[in-house]
Amino acid sequence: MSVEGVQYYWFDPKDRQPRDLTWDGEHLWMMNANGIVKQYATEGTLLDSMTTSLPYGWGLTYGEGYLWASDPSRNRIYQINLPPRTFTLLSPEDGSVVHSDTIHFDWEASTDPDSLRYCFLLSSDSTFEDTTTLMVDSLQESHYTLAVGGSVWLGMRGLGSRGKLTPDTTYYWRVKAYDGWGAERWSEMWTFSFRECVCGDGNCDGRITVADATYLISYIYREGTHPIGDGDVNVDGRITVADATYIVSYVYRGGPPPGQPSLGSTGIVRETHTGRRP
Amino acid sequence: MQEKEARVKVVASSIVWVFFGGAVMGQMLVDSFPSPGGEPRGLAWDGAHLWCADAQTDSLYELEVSTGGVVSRFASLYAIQDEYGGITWGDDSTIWLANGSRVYQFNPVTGGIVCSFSCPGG
Repeated sequence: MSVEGVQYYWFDPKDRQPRDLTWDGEHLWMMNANGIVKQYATEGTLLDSMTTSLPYGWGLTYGEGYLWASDPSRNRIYQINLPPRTFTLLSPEDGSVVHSDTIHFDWEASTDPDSLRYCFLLSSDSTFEDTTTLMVDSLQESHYTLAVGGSVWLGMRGLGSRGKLTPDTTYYWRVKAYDGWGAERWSEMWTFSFRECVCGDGNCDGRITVADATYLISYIYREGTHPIGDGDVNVDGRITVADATYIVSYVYRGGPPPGQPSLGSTGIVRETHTGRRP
Repeated sequence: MQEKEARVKVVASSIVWVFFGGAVMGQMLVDSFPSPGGEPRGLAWDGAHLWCADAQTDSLYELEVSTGGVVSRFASLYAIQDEYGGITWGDDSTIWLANGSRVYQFNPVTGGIVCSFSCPGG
């Protein structure tokens, strides 16, 4: 119902004696006489409800990251802890394919006045229940870096083993923010996969072809994108046109494989080469 | 000092764990302190201190929450009779206070009532 621009909302009919309201910068909070605190979105949608155990809640206000409530029947003022603020994941973007041996996970910083920490979860199982789940707890910063080629401890609840993540597999990740009072806030869940890029596979398409030589030429002469797979195929410490020539030699003239110039020519002429590691 | 000493951590019986949307509340009531009046009602936060309207002493209290101590008290404000209720801060550093029949705008710097009007619902 709207009268002269004022929006009216009905609280839950079971709410006896709504007492006080306060705004936390994101949401509206209501305290009723039964000591039940409810959180509303700005459009009036009831988001959550919690029972404070106060026998006769009255006043309610937000300050310093807490709710403060009065109870005249006890002649006391109570400090109510709130979970960390809502936060969103930033990168790698949901559904993305990462072409790197190192993945940087970033999320928005949450806020909470009580020793905020994060728990990072990554798994090939969307329920995060299986033994392939990677859990990194007690993070103080809102990011985590993972070297996918390295060995990591996989498994929760004391089970699991050291292992590596698998290329071209859908992985799920999410983050839990929690405070010193045990209040938790979960992020949404995002997915990603990664593709390993071997030496010479500059465009990281899983093959070493003349396109990778072209990619290097573009990088060297046309300010193109830096090679994703190692572009220093002749291992001279630089990425030059000699590396592009090396790839052409490997693809068309049976030259030595990228990154292994000491092997010399194989004598095998190949049109394309699958660059995946075993 | 007595108030500080009387400040207590909430007992375990009031600890409630609640699942709360995408969040878990954990321990909700983390602290409490006795109100300086006998019947605390409206609360408002000014960025540093908590303000409390007390219906028994007909007073507005400015409280330091880390100690529960009284920073300032405005007792029996002019023209305001009984039953102090909800309070909130206005943009101009004044406090709006309802006492059941009227709404008052109070200036805590001068200690004076700026204006008042009848509540639509009486």
